[in-house]
Amino acid sequence: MNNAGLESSIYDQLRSYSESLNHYLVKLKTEAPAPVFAPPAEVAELIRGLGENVPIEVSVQLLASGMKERGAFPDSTVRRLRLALDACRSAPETVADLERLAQFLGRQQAGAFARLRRMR
Amino acid sequence: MNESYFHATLTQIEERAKRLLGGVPLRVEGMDALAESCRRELDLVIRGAGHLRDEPQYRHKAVQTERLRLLRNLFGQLDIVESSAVAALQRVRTEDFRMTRMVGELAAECRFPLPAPVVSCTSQDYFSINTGLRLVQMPLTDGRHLLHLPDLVHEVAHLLPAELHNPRATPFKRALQEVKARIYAHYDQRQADLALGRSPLGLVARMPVWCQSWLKAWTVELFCDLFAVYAIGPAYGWAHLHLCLRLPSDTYHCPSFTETSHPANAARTSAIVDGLRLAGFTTEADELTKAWEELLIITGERPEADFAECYPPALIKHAVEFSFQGFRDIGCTVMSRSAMGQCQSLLNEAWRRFRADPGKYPTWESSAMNDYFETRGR
Repeated sequence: MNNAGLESSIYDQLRSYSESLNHYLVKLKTEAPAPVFAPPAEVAELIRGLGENVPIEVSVQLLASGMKERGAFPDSTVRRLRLALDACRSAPETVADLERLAQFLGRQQAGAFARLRRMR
Repeated sequence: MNESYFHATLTQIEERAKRLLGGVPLRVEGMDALAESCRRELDLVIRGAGHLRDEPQYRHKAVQTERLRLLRNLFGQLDIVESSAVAALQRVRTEDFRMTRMVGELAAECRFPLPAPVVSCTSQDYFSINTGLRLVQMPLTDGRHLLHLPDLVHEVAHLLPAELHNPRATPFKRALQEVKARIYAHYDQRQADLALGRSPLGLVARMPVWCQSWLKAWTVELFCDLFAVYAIGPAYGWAHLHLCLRLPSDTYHCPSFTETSHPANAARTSAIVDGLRLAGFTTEADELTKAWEELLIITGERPEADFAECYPPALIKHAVEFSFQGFRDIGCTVMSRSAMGQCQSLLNEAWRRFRADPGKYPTWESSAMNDYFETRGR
C-alpha cells in the first residue's frame, strides 16, 4: 500500500500556497509600502486555516501539526497575521511574519516532495 | 548565487520544459485529458521560468530567497510531470485505454462530481494517484484481471480532499473536518483522564502519535475506503480482504514512535464492514466478517493491547457515518443491489463468481472482460 494519493494532495496544495505567498512577498518587498494588508485569496485562506483548531485542508492540517510539534512556527505569528488580515492593515512586523511563514512552508514542502519522490 | 547563475538555471528549466512539451503527443486517444494537463503544467513552468528570469522585480536583491523558492517549485513541477505524465503518455498501451474507460464509467455510475482521472498501467508499486495530474498508476498485470480493480475507486476518492477551490468537493471535506474535530476532542479527553490516574507511561507517550496519525493521514485513507464502499459496495470489501491476504502486514499495528500513513488493516476492515451495513449490504457485511475471521485464524494474529485505544470504535463509527453523509452531500449515489451500473455489476459479479467457484473463475473472467471491452470498442 502506498500513500501517494495523500502525499500528492499535500504537495500540490503546499506548492500552490507557496507560489501565492512568495509572489506576494516579492510584490510587498519591491513596491512602495502600503498600509493595506490584502494578500491573495490563497494566502488569506492559509493564514485563516492555520488559526483554526481543525483546518479543512489536508496540507494546512500538516502545517498546523508541524507548528505544534516542533515549535518551528509560533502561534503568536499566526495570531498577528490573522489580526492584520481581519483589520486589512499591515503591522510593522507583517512582512517579517510572512517571510517566516514562507520559510516554514518551504521546509514542509521539501518534506512532502521527498516523500512523494520516494514513492516513485 | 549571482544573477547569471539564476539566469542560466531558469533558461535550462525553460528549455527542458519546451523539450518535454514537444514530446507530448498531440492526440492520445482516450488519454487527452492527461495530455492536456501535461501541456498546461509545462506551459506554466515555461511562463514561470521566463518571469523569474526576465521581470525586473525578481532581480531585486531583497527577493532572492523568494525567487529561489519559486525556482524550486518549477523544478519540482517539472520533475513530477516528466516522471509521471510524460512517461505515461509515451508508453500508452491497450490496458491504459481500458482502465481509463473503466474508471470513467465507475465515476459516472456513482455520479462522481469531478472529472475522472486517466489511468496508466506503469506503476512499479501498487495503485496510486497523482492528484495534481489526475493520473492513476497501477501495475500492468492488475489491469488484466478484475479482482483488484475496485481499488481504483479508492484512488479516485483522493481527488476530493486534494481540491483546494472546487466547491463540489467541499461537503466531503467538511465531513472529514467534522471527524477530525471529534478525534481532537477524543484524545484530549483521554489524555486528561489518564493524567488523573496512574496510567502506563508508554500509553501516555503513544497517544499523541495516534492522534496525529488520525489527523494527518488515517482519516483521509478511511474516507477513501468508505467512499469506495458506498460507490461499488461489497466488491471493495472483498478486494480489501484479498489485498490483506496478498501483502505481508501487521494486521493490528499500533504505531509507537512515529506516525503511519495507513490505519491497521483490522481497523480498515472494521470500517469497511460497518460501511457496508450502513449502505444496506448486511448479508455481505456478515460474509466479509466471517472471511476476515478465517484469515486471522490462518495468520494467527490477535489484537495488540493498545488496539482499542489506538482505533477507538467511536472514531471509526464517526468516520463511517460522516463519510456516508459527505458522499451523499456531494451528489454521489450509493450503490444498491437494485441499481447497479454495468461496471459496478461486473466487479461485484467477479467477486461473487470467484468466491463461489475459484476454479472456474479464470475462464469466466477472461470471457467477461472480453465482452465488456468489446462492446466499448477495445
